[in-house]
Amino acid sequence: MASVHRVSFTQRFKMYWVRHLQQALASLGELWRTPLSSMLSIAVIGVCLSMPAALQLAYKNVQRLTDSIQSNSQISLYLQQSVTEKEAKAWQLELSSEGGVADTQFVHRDQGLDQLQQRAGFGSVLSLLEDNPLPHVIVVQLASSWQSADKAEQLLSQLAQAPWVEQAKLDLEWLERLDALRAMFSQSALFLIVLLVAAVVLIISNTLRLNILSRRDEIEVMKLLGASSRFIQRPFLYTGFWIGLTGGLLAWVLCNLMLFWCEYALSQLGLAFGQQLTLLGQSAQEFLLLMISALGVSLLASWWSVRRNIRLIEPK
Amino acid sequence: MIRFEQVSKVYPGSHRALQKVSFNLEQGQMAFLTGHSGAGKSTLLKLITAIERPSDGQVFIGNRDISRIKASQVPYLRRQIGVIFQDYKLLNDKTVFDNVALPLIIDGYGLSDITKRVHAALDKVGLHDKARFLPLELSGGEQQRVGIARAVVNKPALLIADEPTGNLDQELSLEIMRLFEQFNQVGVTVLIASHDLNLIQERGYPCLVLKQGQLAHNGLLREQL
Repeated sequence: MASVHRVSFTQRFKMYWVRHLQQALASLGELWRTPLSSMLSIAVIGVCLSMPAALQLAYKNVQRLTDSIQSNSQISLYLQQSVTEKEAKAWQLELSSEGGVADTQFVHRDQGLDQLQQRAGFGSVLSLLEDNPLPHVIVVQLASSWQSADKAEQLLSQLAQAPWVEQAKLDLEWLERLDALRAMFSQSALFLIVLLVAAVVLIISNTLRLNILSRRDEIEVMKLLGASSRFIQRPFLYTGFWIGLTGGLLAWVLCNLMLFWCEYALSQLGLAFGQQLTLLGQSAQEFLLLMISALGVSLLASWWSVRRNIRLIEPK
Repeated sequence: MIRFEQVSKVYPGSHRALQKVSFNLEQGQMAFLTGHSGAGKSTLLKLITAIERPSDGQVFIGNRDISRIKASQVPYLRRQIGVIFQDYKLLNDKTVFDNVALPLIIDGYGLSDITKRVHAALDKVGLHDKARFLPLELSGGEQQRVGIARAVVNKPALLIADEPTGNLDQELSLEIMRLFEQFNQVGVTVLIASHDLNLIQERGYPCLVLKQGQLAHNGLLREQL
């Protein structure tokens, strides 16, 4: 029999990488030669990938909005009438070192009355009162890690038990609603992302399946000539790589277009919450993550489809 | 070089393609394989190239039993056998040069080696000036010669041809046969499956005759007639 190792190992190793480069370029050329079908595939992948990326951006911006709203969350502690200013201030000092407390502010009962007169618009009625009925108030600003409804409620009940406190108040319903909305958004986004990634996998695997079937005769000949499955698979895997890469880039472009398009509407939403919002775009890390995900998903789909379909083709 | 020991092949549905076929083709020998359609010629060639596995018996290529060869080893076996097909099996979107270069690319040859060997093979089959042509721009005889160049380009020790002259006229068939003889003269073992009894008798090489899956004759065809 003819010698099995007619080509040296070094030569084989060198040519292995040369062939990789050639096959990568050839598969790019193949996409170029069929522009319409290639563009369609890339466009579909780009649109599918742009959705999760856009959702992630939307989530990031919504989270920033809710964070800024929540950062205004505070607990008002209405002290007992008997508590003096000195006692209240001493307790305010104690409170500052409590876990979950970012800042405290003492509101004197006279200051409270002034504020009430200004806000309520019935100053003349309040001025008829002989005594100030309002207690001293300590306003507790929640630390950022205690902004969630659960933790805020925990802190509220803890503070409400203090002997000087007559009543403790926090708009928990608002916080709970906000948390629920955010959770619903992230759950829906996650579900949508899974669906869209599945769509990408199906599109790429079907594109490659058709590509493989159209080259069935060529694959049969290559197998007859002694080509290994890996050798035959490689150009198709590179096709998947190029589709993933260009699809990822297209998704990034689409995402930024969407951001630009929605900027006005989102800034109006921010104003409705009394916030001056500038929209956050994708950071370099997020762009990198998008590209890695696009390439990862497309390579995985390609590998699965190519391996399965090439195995089915055998010389007859 | 090729040794069959009591080889049987039964396809699903109990169709017996080969029954206890035994023969030995020595290294450097040239032989024909003939028989009517359905006699088992194609099955025998498929067993040599490991496209099919025997249901029973052993097939040796060189000294290696390929009856139970692992799927991962099949490509390496095929790289050592040059195969020529009746329908040429050329890649029509690749040039003659690229078609002939394919086995060398698969085997990991360097670019300069590939260029040198492809030109030498095309020279041998008289198609040096057609290297940049596409297969469909060539005649049937020329396409078959491209197929031969591709089969011999990596200098295999064994050459298998399945009806290589089936689509060619008398003159072209003789031309192709002369090429096989040239390869055989430099030590290549050649096994040609053919229907053409006249051609077989004229060349005077040993012949394996298959009848209904059984080896009916092994020797010069004249002896049988």
